[in-house]
Amino acid sequence: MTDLAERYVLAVLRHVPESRRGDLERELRGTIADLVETRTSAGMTDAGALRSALMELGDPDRYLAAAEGRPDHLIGPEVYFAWRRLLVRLLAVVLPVVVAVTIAVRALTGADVGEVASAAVLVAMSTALHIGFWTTLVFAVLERSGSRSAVTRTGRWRPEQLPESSDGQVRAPELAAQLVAFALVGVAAVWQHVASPVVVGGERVPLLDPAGWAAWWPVALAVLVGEAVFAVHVSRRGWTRAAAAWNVALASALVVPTVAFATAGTLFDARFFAALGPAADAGVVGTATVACVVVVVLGGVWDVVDGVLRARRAERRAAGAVAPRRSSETV
Amino acid sequence: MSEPDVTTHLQELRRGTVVLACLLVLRDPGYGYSLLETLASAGLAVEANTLYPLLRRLEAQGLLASEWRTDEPRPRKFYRTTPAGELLADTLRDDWSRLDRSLAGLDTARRSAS
Repeated sequence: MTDLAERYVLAVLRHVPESRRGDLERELRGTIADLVETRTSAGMTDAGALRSALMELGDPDRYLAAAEGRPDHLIGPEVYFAWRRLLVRLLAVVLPVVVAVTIAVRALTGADVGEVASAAVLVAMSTALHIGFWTTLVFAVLERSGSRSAVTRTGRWRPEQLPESSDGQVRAPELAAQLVAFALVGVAAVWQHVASPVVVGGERVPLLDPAGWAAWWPVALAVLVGEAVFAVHVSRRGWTRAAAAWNVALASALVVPTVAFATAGTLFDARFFAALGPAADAGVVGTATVACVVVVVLGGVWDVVDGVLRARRAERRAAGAVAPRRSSETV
Repeated sequence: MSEPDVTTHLQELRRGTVVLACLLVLRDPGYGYSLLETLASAGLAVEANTLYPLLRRLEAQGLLASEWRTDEPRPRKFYRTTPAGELLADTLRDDWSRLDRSLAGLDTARRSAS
């Protein structure tokens, strides 16, 4: 029966370094002996007394955590909400993009409906698992490394983070439309490269010139994901000066390379247009390039101006909303 | 109010008092089980799986000091409140008294108002 006591002691000491075991082990053995002794002197059998004593000491892992002051949770209350916000945001932004790209690539490489659906489900599940696992792991490590005060300090809640309730708010349908648009652009960009419908001499000819595109596409996809994250951020926090500045940076990241490729003559693949028909001569490529540059530049400028205007409006509204309340408080 | 609610609230209210009780009792050195009995007979029943780990934590924080005594029937780890522990005990004791007075004040105010 002392076998049970022995097993209890071992279970408690299992995760304690050798150097710190002695004192803990000695005291624990004494404690069990004390608890058993009072029970046997009260008339219990040896076996019953030991069992009851160990029940009172409870789960060995819990006992050790309490004795050593170790955490008894994976992610504690200090960082829980930061963890949850990040997890939800990552899932909301990354999952739709990954699933959309998977569906597009599978569909365009000739998979049937069943294959497309199963690939989409599988990729969604594994992506969600990865996001959940790695996010949780990082926060669990922060929880144990003593850096959680840094998390709570930098992530400290401020009133500016409140979602906007009035007209300046980016509404859910607008956000959804933006995210779908980004996903479609991303899908189209990948599609024209891997599965262009134009075939010349048995070789698929992409719309965008692979000379430039081959090096640039990771950046372009990163910028698209950045745009999606930014759209979600703005929908939650509203427009601010910082957001408007980020918006300028993101717009530039799309406009500047486009203009650079157009100037170098490597925006579109000339073979793509040549294959469309005899009417499409070299002049068409030039026209398409100019049209593309005009659309991208105007779109970028509009995006930047819109962001700045929205930020200023939000700032003015915030100032207007706070000022009268302050004066009424002093009355 | 249902029964479990009362238990939870009582636990919340008593949580910090165990530390204070240990620091007060251990001005005279004692070992885990003796402290358990002293507290129980004083009407402050604490579970063994709360008390023993707590003693180790208070020792790690420098509020208790310990020594092994081998003159007992079996070797026992005796804990004693350190000067730092005394200081904390005084602070906690004062605060407990202050809270009690404040609550009493609130209580009579409420009674006389109704």
